[in-house]
Amino acid sequence: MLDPTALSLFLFSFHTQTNTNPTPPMENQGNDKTLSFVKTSATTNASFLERGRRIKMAAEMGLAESSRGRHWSRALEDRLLRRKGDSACGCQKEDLVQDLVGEEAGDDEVMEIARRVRALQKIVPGGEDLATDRLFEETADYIGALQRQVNVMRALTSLLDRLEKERRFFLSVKKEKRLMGE
Amino acid sequence: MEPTRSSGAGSGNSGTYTPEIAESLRFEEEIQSLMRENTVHPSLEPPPATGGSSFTALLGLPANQAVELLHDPDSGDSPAASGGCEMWRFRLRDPKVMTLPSGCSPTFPSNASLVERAARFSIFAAEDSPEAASVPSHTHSSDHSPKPKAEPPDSDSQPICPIPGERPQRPAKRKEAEKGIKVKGPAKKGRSAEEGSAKVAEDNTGGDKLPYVHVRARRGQATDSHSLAERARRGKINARMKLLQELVPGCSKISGTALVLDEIINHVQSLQRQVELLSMRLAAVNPRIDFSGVDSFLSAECGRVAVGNGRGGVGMEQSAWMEAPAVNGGRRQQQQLQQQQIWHVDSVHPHQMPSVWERDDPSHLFNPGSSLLGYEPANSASLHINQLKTEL
Repeated sequence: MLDPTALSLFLFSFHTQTNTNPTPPMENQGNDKTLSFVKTSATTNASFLERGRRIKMAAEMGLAESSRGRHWSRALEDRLLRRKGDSACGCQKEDLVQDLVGEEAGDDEVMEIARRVRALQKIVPGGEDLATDRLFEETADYIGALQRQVNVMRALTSLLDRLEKERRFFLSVKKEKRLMGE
Repeated sequence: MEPTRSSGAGSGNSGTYTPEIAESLRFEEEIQSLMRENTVHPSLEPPPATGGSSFTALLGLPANQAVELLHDPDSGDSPAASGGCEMWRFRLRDPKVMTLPSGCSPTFPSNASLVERAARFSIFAAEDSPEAASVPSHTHSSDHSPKPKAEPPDSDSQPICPIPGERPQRPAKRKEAEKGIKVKGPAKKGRSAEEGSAKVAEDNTGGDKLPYVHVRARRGQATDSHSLAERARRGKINARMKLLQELVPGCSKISGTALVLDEIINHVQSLQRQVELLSMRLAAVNPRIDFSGVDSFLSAECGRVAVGNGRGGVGMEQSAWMEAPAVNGGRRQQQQLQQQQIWHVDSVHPHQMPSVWERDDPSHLFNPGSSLLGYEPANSASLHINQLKTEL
């Protein structure tokens, strides 16, 4: 899929760019899709961890943007932008996992499965208020999007790596030339 | 429902019939002869409209009707069962046109597994009098095709599905039938038979590993709409679980819901960790990234993507694009492009502009060390660029 991939890529590259610039802080504009995670100014002096965190945020934003309209995407975006956008989606009821198992399962099994379903709910963004079947749907979509995001990031990493190497190489060449010229 | 059927109990069938089905058909023959003797011809009613029901009725009928006949040949059937009965009687009345409704025979599944399953069902039908009896009662509700009620969202079942009255429909019909079940005489016998068959069915379901779910009533289980819906939901959930299994590598081998869920959770967690690791790696790679080589690539991609995307995507991409290529070489052309982009993005984010304007500190606009902005001769252009940058 090109589009979501490209989108994430751009968001990513965008964010990496702004990392090198002081940006005036901007407040959240939750009504539009401003990616105001960029608000935090980032210079090259920012710590490695800080930059990493911001990149992660950008990546997650890209992930959410890549699958707009999905419940988990909206929930993820809400979480990133720290807004309470609960009303947008039709909130599904909480549900027991009773119906997941066939009737033949004993209580232990049901509890085991319920435990896992709850764990899954915690992992998948927005899974808390999803019924089991919807949860599985969202999980499937989320897994797909995550995989795409990982692919994009890998590609971007190798690309930037190569660019960095080339740049260093050329810089060294330039330096040499300058030295030789003097 | 076609009133005429191919004649011959077993003769008119395709060669794919399993012995069980042939047996049930032979059953019909016997019953037919019985009928001829007893001359039981209760009032005939117009056959049910659905061709699909005929098949199930066929499967469901023989033993049940045989039982009926054997026990109480003269009994007038209850209206509930008459739908199926009359079909059967149709056949009986016209001995030459017995057996499979013609609607079914040409479309009888050549799929061996389906045939096998159908055969098994016929066996169940033999034991399963109330259910079988209630199948005809379903024919009254002939209008709504069982297909929507049928379980499977999966495509797996689709190839098998198109035949009227085949397996996925059967459980649906049974569900409905159970809904409208009229207690026939041999209730007790039916109960035990149901229990037996239900058990077998459950095993069947477990062993089949099919994407769709056979929904059968277990012993003593209520057949009201509530539990039916519940069971439908369960089927849906299981179908989605199968989907997830396919998505997660290595999950199809695992059996057991809990383990599969474990695997899914692990996979999601590993992917999330990968995202985190890669982002850290990117942070390490990129103290200051020179995007000069990326310009053409990104612009090409962005041009293509921007056309295809909606508003939001376009806005974002364009802004991102503006930022990314505006690094080193080619500032001229980039500026032009940027200006173009600015206007376009302006239309996309009109209400954002004014607010950002006020807040923007002019000192921020020109960043000597910025690898982002080409220095614009026009102030407004830079402002716009910065606005977009800050917005995004």
